[in-house]
Amino acid sequence: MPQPTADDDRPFAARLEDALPALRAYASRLARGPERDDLVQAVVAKALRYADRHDPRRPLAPWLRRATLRAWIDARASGSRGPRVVPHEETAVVSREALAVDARDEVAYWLKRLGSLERDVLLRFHRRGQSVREIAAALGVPEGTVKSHLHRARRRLAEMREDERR
Amino acid sequence: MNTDRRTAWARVHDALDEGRDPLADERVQEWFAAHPEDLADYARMERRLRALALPADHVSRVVTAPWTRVGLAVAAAAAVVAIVWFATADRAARTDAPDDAQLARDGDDRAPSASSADLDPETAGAPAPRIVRYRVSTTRSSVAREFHASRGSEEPLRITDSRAGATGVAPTDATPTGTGPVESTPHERTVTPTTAAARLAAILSVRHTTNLETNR
Repeated sequence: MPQPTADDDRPFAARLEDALPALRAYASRLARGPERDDLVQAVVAKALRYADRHDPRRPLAPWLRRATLRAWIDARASGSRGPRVVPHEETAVVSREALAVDARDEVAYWLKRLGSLERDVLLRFHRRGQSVREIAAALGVPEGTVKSHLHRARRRLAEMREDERR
Repeated sequence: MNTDRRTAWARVHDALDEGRDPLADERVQEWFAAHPEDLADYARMERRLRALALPADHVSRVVTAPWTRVGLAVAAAAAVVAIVWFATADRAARTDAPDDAQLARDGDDRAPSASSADLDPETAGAPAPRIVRYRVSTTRSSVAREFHASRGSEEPLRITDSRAGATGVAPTDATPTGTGPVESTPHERTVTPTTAAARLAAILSVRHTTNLETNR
């Protein structure tokens, strides 16, 4: 497969077409059959739409792989919401409210399962937007300690499965 | 947690600490492709962090943002449409859809040697027509969505994702979602219709695109 070079001045679509085999191979590691094809096509569609955001001086492949991972995550998120039904306008409002409550509940539930320091660090970083350095100064601990609590808290969020809540 | 996994996740956390997108890291990309179960964990973490970042009174607004997902239990199998322009009609010159061999062939749009004479074996070797106009389009349907692609000698490659216009999925920070058709720039050089058809088929992962008719 011809690899786009840093000074590749061909049209974006031409570079994208050349990158298709590699893109398809990458997607094959994440999905099979029609799901893989959907994934590839979603990435191609997005890539064409946002072509102007790609720096032509940079290689295309990592950009496409990143988009592939995003598309995979999006596809799973939409799939986990269950069958898509066209909602009646009023029904849709009720459903949205239910989802909002559910999202709040979920966040509160998982936060309770963290240690107090982990929760504090996590909230400071991800809700208040404080940097690691600022948090370290506020809590009077080394930055390494803040990072270690922050990483552990995130890891817990990643590993706690939805079925634990039911 | 083994060393490779620990390293990959350390890179994820470092990127988050520095406000970068972890998925842009090539080693993380490689790890997640090899371990989709970890990508699922990452997705779960990211979703919760995103919810966490919002004050409670804002959660409702975000979740209730326009979310008009249209359920598409798409039925149709791949539909094939050909629209033809004839300048000086020679219908005998029409060609069938590219076969598997053509699809497998990695034709080059930009290769000047890719002559329209390829359309008809009988005329192979004959002087190539100066103008070949064509348009090819195809649709691929799956359970949840439908993609439509088209391209012509005077049209850009255009792909429409049926789900994009109706999705309620919140835009992700790295690759925003959008609505409506997407398109590239038109061909700037001579293109053989068969090559265009094959490439269109390859993009949409369908076996055939369309019958091509040209003005040659």
